[in-house]
Amino acid sequence: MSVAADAAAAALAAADGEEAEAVVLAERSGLARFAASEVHQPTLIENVVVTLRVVRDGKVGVAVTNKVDDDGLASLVQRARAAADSAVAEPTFPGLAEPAELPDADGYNEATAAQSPEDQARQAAAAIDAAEGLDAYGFYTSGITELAVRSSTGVDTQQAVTDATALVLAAGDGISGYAEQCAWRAADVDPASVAREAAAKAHRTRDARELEPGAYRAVLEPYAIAELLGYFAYDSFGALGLLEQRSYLAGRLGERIADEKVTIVDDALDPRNLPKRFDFEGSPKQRVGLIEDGIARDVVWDRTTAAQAGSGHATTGHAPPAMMRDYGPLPFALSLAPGEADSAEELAELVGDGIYVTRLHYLNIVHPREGVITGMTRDGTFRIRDGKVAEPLVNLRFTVSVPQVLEDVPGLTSKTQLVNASDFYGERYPYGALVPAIATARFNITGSGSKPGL
Amino acid sequence: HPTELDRVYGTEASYAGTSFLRPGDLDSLRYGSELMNITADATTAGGLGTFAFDDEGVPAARAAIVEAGVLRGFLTSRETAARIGAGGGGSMRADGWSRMPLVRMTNLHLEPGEGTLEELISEVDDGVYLESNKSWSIDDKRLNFQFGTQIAWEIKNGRLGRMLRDATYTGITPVFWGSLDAVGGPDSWEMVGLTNCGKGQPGQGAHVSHGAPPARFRNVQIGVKA
Repeated sequence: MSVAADAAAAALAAADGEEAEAVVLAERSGLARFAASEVHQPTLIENVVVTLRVVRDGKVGVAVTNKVDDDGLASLVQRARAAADSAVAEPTFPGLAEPAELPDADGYNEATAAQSPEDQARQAAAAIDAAEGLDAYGFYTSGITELAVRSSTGVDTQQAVTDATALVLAAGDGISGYAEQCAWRAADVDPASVAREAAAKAHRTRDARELEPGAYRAVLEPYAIAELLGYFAYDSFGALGLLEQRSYLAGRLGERIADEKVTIVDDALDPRNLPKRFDFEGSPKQRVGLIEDGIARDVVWDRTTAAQAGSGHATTGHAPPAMMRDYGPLPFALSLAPGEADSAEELAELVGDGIYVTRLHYLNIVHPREGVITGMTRDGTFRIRDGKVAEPLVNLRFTVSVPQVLEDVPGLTSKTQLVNASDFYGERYPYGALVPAIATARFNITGSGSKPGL
Repeated sequence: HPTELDRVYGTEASYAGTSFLRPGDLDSLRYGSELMNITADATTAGGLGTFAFDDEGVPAARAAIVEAGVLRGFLTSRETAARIGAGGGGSMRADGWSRMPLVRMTNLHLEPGEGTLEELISEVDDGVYLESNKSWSIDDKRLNFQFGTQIAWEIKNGRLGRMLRDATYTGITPVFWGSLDAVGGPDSWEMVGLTNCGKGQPGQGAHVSHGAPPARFRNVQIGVKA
C-alpha cells in the first residue's frame, strides 16, 4: 500500500454506507528556486490531499481535506454529505466508475523519488555554475506524486510517478535566453546543459530590433509550440468544449484542418512522456488521436461528457481533478508527431525569410471557436534571413489562429522534446507535452514589446 | 504588476517576468496623465485582496501607487521595501501553507474623477465603449498588453450604437495611461474581483480586486493587423 492508497481506503471506510469515491493525491517534492544566481524561495512539500465525492439520490457533493486522521476524515465525510444534500440532482451524472482493467505505464524511478533537498540544491547549483557568466533564474525540482482512487463501486487503484525539471532563464544587461528539460527519470535531466543552452541563446539576443507587424513564416522551438498547443487544447481538445461548441473542432471532426504532416495525439501511456495509467475517476488512460495526418479526429472524454453526448461515446480516461471539473476532460499528455528535419536550423532553411521563436509568454484565448490565441515571445526571438537565424528581435506580440499556424507546415524536427506543462499550481500533478520544433508558413505578429533581459 | 517590487528587482524573471519600472523611477516617472490616480488598498470592504495583515504580519494599509500620473509607490515586502528605503512592506501573500509569500497585488483601484458614463460617452464623436474583459495578455515587463472583451459598443456622435462582439484593444502601458482624458465620478466606481492571478514557482493563484469608474482614453488601437 502507498500513502495515497492508505488514505483513500481510510476515507472510503469513514464514508461507510455511502455511495462514495475517494481520490487522493500525495506529494513529496522539492523545488530549488534561484534568482540572480542565488538560492531564492526553495520549497519542500509533503502533503496528502483527499477529495471525497458522495452521491445521494443523484445529488453529488464533494469535500476536500489534507487532515487525514480519524477526526479529519470524519469531518470530510460530514461536509461531503452536507454538500450532496444541499445540491440539486444532476440528471446527466453517470454514476461512479466501475472497476476496469488498467494498462501498464511505468513512470516511477526510485533514484528520482529518493532525491533529497541537498540533491535538488546541488542540481540547482550545477545550473547556476554553468550559466557562462550570466545571472541564472529558474529552478530544479523533483518529486514523487501518488494518485489513488477507491470507490464503493469497487474501484481500487493507485500509481506512483516521479518527475524532474530543470528550467533556466540566463540573463544579463539587455540579453536573455531560456531552456528547460523535463523527464520522469532525474538522470535524464542535465541542469548544466540547460543552463548552457539558455546562456548561449542569451548571448545572441543583444541589440534586439523591432519588427513590423505582419504575417511571417516562422520556426517555433519545442517550448513555444508546446505552450501554444496547450492553450489551444483548453477549449478545442476536450469534450466539454466540443459539446458546448467552444471547440474549434466542433462541426469539423473528419475534416482537414491542418497540414498532412500534423498528427497530434494525447498519449499518457507513452514512456517518453510522464506516464499515467488512469484518470481522476480511476478510468483507464487511452491514446486518443486528436488530429491525424491533418484530419480532425476526436477529443478527449470523461464519463460525464460521454454520458452527455449519448450513444457512441465512452470515457477515454481524461477525467480531471475535482478542482478542474469546470474545464471538463483535458489532454494532459499532448504529443505532436515528429518530422524529418535534423534540426531547428534546418527548419530555418525551409522558412527562408521569417522569424525564430524560442519561448512564449502570457498566452490567452481571444476567440475559442476560431482557435485564436494571443501572447508574447520572449528570451530568444530572432529574424530568419536567407534560411539562417539572423539578428535578435524584441519580444513580439502574436495573435494567431492555431489551425492557421498548422495549416501549412514546411517541416518538423525528427527529434522531440518533453516540455513541462504543469507550472505546479495546487497539488503536484506533473504533465508535459512531447513535441518537435516546427516550421509554419504563417505566424501573425501584431505588435512589439520589451527588449530581452531584465 | 509592474509596481510589484520583487518583479522590479528581477526575482520573478523566470516565470511571471520583470517590470519596465526601476527603483529610481519613484516620484519621477510619468506613468499616465494627470487624471490617473492609483491606490493599493488592502482595507477595502468586500475586496478579494482585503486582509487585516499580510503574510509577514504587516498591517493592511492604503497607499498611493500613482498620483496625478506620477509613480508614487511600489507594492512591497519588508525586504524589498528596505532596499528602496520606503515603507514597511504589506503586500506579501502566499496562496496556502505550502507556498512562499510573494509580493502580490491587494486591491488596486483607479480613483474616481468626475461625471457619469453617459457624460464620458457624450464627448466622443467616433469611438468604442469596451464594457467587459474576457481575455488578457501582457508582456514580461508589463509594457505591451492586449485585452479582449466579451461585449463592446460602437460610439457615434456621442451616443452608443451597434453592439460589437469580441473587440480587442492593445497598447503600451504608459502610452495608454498617458492618453487617459476622463475618469468617471464616485457614483460610477465599481469593484470587481479575480481569483486566479498567477505568479511564482511553484505556481500560486492570488485573489485580487480592482475598483474603477469608467474611464476614457484617446487613440487606442482597437483590433489587430496581421
